Amino acid sequence: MIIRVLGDTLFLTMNTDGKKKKQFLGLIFLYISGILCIISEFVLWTNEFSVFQLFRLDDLTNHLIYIIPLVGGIGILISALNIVLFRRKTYKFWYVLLVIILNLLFYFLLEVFSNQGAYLWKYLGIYMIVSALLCLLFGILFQIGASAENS
Amino acid sequence: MDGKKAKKPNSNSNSSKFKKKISEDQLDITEDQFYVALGHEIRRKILKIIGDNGFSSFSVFKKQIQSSTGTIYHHLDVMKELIIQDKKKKYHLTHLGEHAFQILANNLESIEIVSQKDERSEFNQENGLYDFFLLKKLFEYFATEKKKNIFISFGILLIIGVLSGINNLQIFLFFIRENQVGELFFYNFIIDSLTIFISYFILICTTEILSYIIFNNHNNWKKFLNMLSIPYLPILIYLGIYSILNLIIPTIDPLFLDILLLLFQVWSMILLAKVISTVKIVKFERGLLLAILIDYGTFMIMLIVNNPFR
Repeated sequence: MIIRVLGDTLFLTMNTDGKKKKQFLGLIFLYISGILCIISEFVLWTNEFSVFQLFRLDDLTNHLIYIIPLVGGIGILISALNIVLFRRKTYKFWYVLLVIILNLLFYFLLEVFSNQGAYLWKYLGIYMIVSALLCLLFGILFQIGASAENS
Repeated sequence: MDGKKAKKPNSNSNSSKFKKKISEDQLDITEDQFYVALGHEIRRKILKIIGDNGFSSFSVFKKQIQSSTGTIYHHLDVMKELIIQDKKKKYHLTHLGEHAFQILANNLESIEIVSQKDERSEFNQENGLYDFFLLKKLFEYFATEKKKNIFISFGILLIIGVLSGINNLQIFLFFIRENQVGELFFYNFIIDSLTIFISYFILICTTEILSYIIFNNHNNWKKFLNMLSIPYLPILIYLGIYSILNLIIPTIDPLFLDILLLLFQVWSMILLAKVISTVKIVKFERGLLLAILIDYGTFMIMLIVNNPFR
């Protein structure tokens, strides 16, 4: 019963009119996601350090992943600009870029969890990146939903 | 056109209560009448307005269709088997009307997709790279209903299972993890080979259930058995590269392999989106939407299991 109700709600959300509304919501979510990603790079992730301070050029291969939130955030903002505002013809490429960023963030989270442990939840960084991931999911879903509608 | 076969799309509770009162005997309609009722733009608009909102009134029709009162009444009269009026003069869909609305909603998109396939656009003709990454020829081959396709699919999965067993990797949907150290090699080998088949059936079930819930579309589900092995091809290529690199350069940086895996995962997701759009005859974007949901779900499972998946 619950699944059916949830399904009907999802079905309604995906199929109701209002392409512009979906595009607008998609843009808002993508922007919030990008900004949260960039901010999360500079807030505390451990007792003393932000992720940006963990990124070190001297041992690049081991610390390269700590730059992912910053790069991902900038990538999300650029993709959102190109998909929603500039409406490029190559919009599929920007969707693919968003999916790559999504997977990069997944990879980053899994690595950070295995490296830093569960005490990450005591600091602000993890909450920001999880919120950014959720916003990114909703942003992509709204945006794709808008693109899939018949014009 | 049996009323019992009619599906139950979106409508509010008042509308569904009202419809229960309608007896099945009232839906006495021939196939010709049914298609005549759908055979005019205004009638389709009326059906869509009621279907989208659950019920509607004459003033709404007048406002949205922008036609004369007489014309709208004429079309409402033609559609008398598909719509019905309650005591408050609101129009509702009958079960047959709901069925017609569902057919219209599904057909609109599938007609567009099929007509796009008929058009040989410049983009499709000239962009070889696009065709290469979307494995266009393979899709054309798998689209034919051949019994041996299913054996090819299982062959692909078997090779992935063997390669993952040799490399001591476990595959869950499109995520890969290394096995725990200390387990017996043959035990790992069997488990790894089995995991890929289990994950294949989980993928089929998840995709079918999600497409039913989100698109209300359960067409051609058997085709998934043949075609859902296509998204695993990038994983197969990755496992091949992984095996070769481990043999040639055993000290290779794991970060390089991780980034490589990430790109192949994205390729797999794009192919999954393509498979969904081909099988369900929906737009590519809708397929991508499902693929992202599946990716997210898999990631959540990985996080809950709390193992260092790569």
